[in-house]
Amino acid sequence: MANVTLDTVRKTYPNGYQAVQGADFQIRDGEFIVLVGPSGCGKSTLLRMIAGLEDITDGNILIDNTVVNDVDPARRDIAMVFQNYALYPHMSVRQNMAYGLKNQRMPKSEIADRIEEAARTLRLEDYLERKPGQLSGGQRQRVAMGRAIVRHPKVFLFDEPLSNLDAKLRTQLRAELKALHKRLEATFVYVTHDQVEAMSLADRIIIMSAGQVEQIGTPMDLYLRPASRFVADFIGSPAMNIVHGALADDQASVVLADGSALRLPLAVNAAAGTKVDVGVRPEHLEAVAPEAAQFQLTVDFVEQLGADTVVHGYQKGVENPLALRLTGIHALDAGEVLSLAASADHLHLFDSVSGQRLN
Amino acid sequence: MTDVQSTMAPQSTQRRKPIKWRLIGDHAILIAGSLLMLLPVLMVLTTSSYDNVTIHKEGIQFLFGDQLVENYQQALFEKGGFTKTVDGARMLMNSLILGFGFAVGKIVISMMAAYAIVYFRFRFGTVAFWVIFTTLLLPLEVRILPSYEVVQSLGMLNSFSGLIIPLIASATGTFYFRQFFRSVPEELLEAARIDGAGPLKFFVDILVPLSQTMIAAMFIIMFVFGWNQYLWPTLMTTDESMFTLVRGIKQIMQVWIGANIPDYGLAMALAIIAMTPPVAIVIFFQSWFVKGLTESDK
Repeated sequence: MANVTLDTVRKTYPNGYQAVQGADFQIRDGEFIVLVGPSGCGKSTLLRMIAGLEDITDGNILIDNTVVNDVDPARRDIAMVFQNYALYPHMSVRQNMAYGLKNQRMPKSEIADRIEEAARTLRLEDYLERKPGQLSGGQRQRVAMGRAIVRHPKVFLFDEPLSNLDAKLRTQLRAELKALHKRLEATFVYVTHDQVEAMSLADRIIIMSAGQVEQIGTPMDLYLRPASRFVADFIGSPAMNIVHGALADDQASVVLADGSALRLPLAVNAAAGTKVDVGVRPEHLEAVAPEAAQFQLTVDFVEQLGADTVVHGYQKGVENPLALRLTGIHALDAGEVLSLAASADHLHLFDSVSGQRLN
Repeated sequence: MTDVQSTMAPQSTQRRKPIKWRLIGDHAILIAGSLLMLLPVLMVLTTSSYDNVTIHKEGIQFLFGDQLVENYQQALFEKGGFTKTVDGARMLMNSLILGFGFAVGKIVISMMAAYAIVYFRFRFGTVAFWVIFTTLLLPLEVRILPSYEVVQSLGMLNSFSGLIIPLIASATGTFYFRQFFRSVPEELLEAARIDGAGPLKFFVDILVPLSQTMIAAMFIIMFVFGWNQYLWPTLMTTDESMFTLVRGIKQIMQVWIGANIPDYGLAMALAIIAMTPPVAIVIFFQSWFVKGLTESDK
């Protein structure tokens, strides 16, 4: 078990493309860290750099307080689980798990013990003599995890391990992963583009965009106080409502495109006239009396999901469509106008240009 | 097989359904095609069971004669040629050594070359590949004189190494293995690196087993290609004990001593013997090849 420290790690490809622009954070011992972001944000590159599969252009990576920049992947004491499983197709499940240990010249009896233990944990006992081709996707991914577990590594690295599975299996394996983490008490670094996976698995999330770390925090930190418009937009489904406008002279309201004002019951540290984006999550909007309303939502269409109802609509002066999430079942007609407001805690204000949080 | 089907089909259709002319037409074409391919071989086989006089007088025979065993015995075990030092079995052995050496050597060399080209980033790697690739355009005949000169001055005439080594570099093989290696997922290499497999271990433990099908396919092609080599062995070997079958058959036909009738039966028998190993190799490796294709998934 170990911590992992990234000290201003950069990755620039020979063609000049900067995949990672200065990642600087520490992963604590036994922590479940999820790296999340859209495709091409550099999260996989970062993981591969921790694994040693990718060279570091600049900075240092420390595992267990030792700089491992030039250490071979096999000697970093890490294990990695790949998206497409990367099992050796010609070897049985047992041989797949044993291969890395054999290369370490571990005694046969200990290899057998470790495989047995991992197989029990992952319920793979009946499949040990099969080839990967004879297993289902979920079983293959379990074997890939087994191959990682038998190594007893300091750090587990996961590169989108559940992306190739169907939704139901994904939920099931997600729970298994969480349980596995609890059982092993090991450091997990997990890459995904799926924010639900990130929210449900992580102790802390590192959210990345265009090679830069946008925010590091617990799932609830990211949900309740996103540091930038990007984070606000990425976390949560349906996505946060964003309204463009400019800060009015009184700094307590925002002037929308059509000249109407949106009241802001919060202190803002920005000059009047600053172009801002106001964000509010669909589930934080509440019905209020028309005179107290911040938003006048005209209903467009309704998604009834059973547990909750998502109302999609629009407002004059707001370019983006807006959404409202109500718990339970509600029947609403298109064209109906709803008066809505959110409490100060749930309003997020971002600078339009930099995207940084202003409140 | 086709014969049986075509005779069965009209009988059963007479009773129940109208005759499927289309089907009969298809079969007729297929049967004609296979006869066209098989008949010459069959005729060689049947003719090889007659004595030389009969063949000389009556030409090609369609039915088996009574000299089958004698002819094959003579072809395999009687010393022939000018020097009377080489028999068919010896030539068969020479051909087998050439075929196997040729195929195995080509596979080993081209796999290693492809491995270097695909998995290692070195200066001029791509250039090296294209240089190898362009040699595909040049047949052996183009470089045969310089090759002969080199082998001759190395003193490798009339030796198996002289027969095999100069032909071993294979652009075709390198190209096919390169294409195959490129289709192996990158993650396998990475998983192997994390599992502590160095370049050699990865090659031996992962890549070679994965290439089984490819190797089987290459083996078929290369063995047959090597077996059928004529020009190169003709240049390389002057000693009759080094003759290969393909070249030996011709030698037999050339032996006209006095008023002797050429050994037609013997030549036919040798031709059949020369045909058997490649056919056996194809049949054997084909099943392996198909098995590999259907079983493995990368």
